[in-house]
Amino acid sequence: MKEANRKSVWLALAAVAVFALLAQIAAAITHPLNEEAAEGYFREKAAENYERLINEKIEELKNINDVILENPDLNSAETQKMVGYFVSILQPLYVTAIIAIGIYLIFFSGTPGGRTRAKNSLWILLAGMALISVSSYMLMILFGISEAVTLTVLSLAPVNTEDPFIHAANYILEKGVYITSHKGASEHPWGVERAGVPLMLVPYALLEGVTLVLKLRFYVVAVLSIILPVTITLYAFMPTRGIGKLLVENTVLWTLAQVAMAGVLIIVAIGVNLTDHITSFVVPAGMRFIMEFAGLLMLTFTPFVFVRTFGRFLP
Amino acid sequence: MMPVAFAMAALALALSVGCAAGDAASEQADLAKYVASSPLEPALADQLRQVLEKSEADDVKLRMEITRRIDFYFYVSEKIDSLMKTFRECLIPFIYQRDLFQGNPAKNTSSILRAPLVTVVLNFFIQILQPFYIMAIMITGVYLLFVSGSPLGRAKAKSTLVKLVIGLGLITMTIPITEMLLESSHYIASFLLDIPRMKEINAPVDMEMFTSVKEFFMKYFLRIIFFDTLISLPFLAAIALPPIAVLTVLSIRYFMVILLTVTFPFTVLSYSFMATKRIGNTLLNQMIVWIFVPVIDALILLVTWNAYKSVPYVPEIATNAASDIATFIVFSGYVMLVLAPFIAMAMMAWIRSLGLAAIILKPVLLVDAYFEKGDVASEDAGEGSDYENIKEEVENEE
Repeated sequence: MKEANRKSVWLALAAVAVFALLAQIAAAITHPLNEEAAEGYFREKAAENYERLINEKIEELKNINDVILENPDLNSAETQKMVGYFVSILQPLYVTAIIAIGIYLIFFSGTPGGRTRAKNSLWILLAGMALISVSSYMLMILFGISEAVTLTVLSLAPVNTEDPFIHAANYILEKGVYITSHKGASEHPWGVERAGVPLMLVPYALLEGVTLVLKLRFYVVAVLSIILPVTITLYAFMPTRGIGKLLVENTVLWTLAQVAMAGVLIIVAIGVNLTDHITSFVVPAGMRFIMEFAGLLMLTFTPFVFVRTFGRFLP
Repeated sequence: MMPVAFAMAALALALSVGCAAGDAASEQADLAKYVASSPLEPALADQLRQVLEKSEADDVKLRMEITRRIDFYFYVSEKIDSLMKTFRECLIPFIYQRDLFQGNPAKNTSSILRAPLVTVVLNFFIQILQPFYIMAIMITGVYLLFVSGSPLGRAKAKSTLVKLVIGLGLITMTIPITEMLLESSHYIASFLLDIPRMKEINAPVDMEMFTSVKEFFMKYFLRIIFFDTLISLPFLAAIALPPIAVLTVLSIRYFMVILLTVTFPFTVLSYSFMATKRIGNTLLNQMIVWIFVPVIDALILLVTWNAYKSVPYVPEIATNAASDIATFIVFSGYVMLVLAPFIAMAMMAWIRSLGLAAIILKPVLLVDAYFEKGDVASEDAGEGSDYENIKEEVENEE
C-alpha cells in the first residue's frame, strides 16, 4: 500500500513536471521576440511579393508601343460572324423601307415636299445598304491610317519611352518596401506593414491603370466595330440620327485615340529627357519623379480627354 | 524514471526562463539606446522614456511596437522634409518655366521648345500638313476660277483662301508665336510676384508659409502613429499630397505647352475650315489657357501670402486659433493652385463673353470683307446692296 502511494505521488509529480515543461515550450513559442521574428518574416515576404508583382507589371510596360498599336482583328471568324449577323438583320429592314418608299412614290399622290423627302431618303437608304455590307472594310482602312500615323509618331520618340514611368514606379516602390520591411538595428526585419502596403499599392495601381486604359480602348473599338452596321443605319435615318452621330463619332475618336496616346507618350518622354535643359533651377530627384508621375497620369487619362475634347465633330 | 523526468523538466524550465530574461535584457538595452539616440523632440523623447520605464520588464512586444513606429516616423519625416524643401525651392522657378522659351548661352543650352527633340516632331507635323494646305489652296483656287457658284459660296471660298494663306505663314512661325505668348505670361506672372518686393524691401512671397500646413498635420500624425499606423495615413496624405499635387499640375502644364506647340500647325489648319473650326477653336483655347496658367498661379500665391500675413493683425483673433486659421488659409492656397488650370479655363470663357474675341477678330473680318467685294458693288453702295448683304451673311456665319 505504502509502495502504491509512493508510486502515485511520483506519477503526479512527473505529470506536473511534464506539464510545466510543455507550458514553458508553449511560452517559448509565443514569446514576444519569437512573435516579432515571425511577424518580421511575414513583412519581408509581403514586401518581396509586392516587389515581384510590380516588376511583372514593369515588364509588361516595356511593350507599351505594341500595346498602343494593337487594334481588333476584323478578319477573324468570330468578328465576321457577328458583323454578318447584324448585316443579315438590317438588310431586310432596308429592303422593306425601300419598297415602302417606292410604293409611296408610285401609288400615292403626296405633297411635293413629302415626295422630295421620300426621294432623298431613297438615295440615303440605297447608300446605307451598300455601306453596311462593306463596313468592315471601311473600318480596316481607318485602322490602317491610324496605325500608320501612330507608328510614325512613335518613331519620333527618344529611346525607351517607357523609362520615365518605370523610374517613377520604382521610386515609390523603393519607399514602400523600406517602410514595410528593412533590416534595422536588430536581426529581425523592421517595418510597419499597415502603412507600407498601401504605399506599395500606389505604383501597382498606376501601372495597372495605364495597361487597363490601353486594353479598354482596344475593347471599346472592338465593340464599336462589331456594331458599325447598326451605327450606319442609325445615322442614316433622321429620327435616330442623334444616337447614330454619337456612335460614329465615338468609333472614329476611340480608334484615333491610339494616335493621341502615342503623341502623349513621346511628349512625356521628350519632356523628361529635356530636364537637363532646365538651368533656371536645379531639378532634384524628387522633382523629376513628380514630372514622371504627372506623365503617367496624363497617359492614363489621354483617351477620355481626347474623346471628350473632340466629340461632336460631325455636323 | 520519474526522478529523471522531473529533473529534465526542471532543467528545461530553468533554461527557458534564463533565455527569455537574457533576450529581454538585450532588447531592452537596444530600445533604450535607440530612444536615447533618436533626435525626437525633447518632450516627446521624455514621454516615450517614461512609457518604456513604466511598462513591465518583460513587455518586450510593447517596446518593439513603439520602436517600429519611431523608426517609421523618422523615415517619413525625413522624406517629408526633403519634399517640402523641393517644393519651397522649385515652386516659383517651376511656375515661371523660363527654360521653355529662354536658353542659357553660358551653358550652351537652347530653350526647350527649340531643342532638336521638339523641332523634329514639329517639323514632322508641318511636313504632314503641307500637302493638305497645298491641296486645299489648289481646290479653292480651281473653284474660284472655273466654277460659277453662288455669291455666298464664292465669298466663303475667298474667306477660306485668305485663312489658308495666313495659316501657311503662321505654321512656319509656330515657335516664335509660342515664345511670344510664353514671354507675355512670364512678364505678367513675375510682375505679380514682384509686387511684395516693391512694397517692402527684400520681402518676396515667403514660401515658408507652406511649412505651417506640414507642422499642423505632423502633430496629429505623430500622436496617432502610436495608436495605429494605418489611421495615421490620412494625415500623412494631408501633408504629402498637396505639394505633390501642385507640382504635378505644373508638370502637366510643362508637357501640355510642348504638346500644344507641336500640334499648333494642326490647330491653325483646323481653324481655317468651317467644318473643323470647332476643333481648332478648342485647341487654340487650350493653348492659351495652359500658357497663361502661371499668371493665375502667381495671383493665387500673392493672395494667399497676403491673407497669411494679415491673420495676426486681425484684432478679434487673439487665441491660438490664429495659427490654425493661417494654416487653413495656406491649405486653401494649395487647393487653388491645383485648380488653377480650371480657373484659367473659366476666366477664358468669361473674357470671351466680354467680346474680347470680337476685338481681336474684327480686323480679320474686315480683311475678309475687303476681299469679298471683288465681284459685287463696292462698300460705298450703302445698306441693302448685295455687298452689304453678303458681308452680313458671312459675319453671321463667322
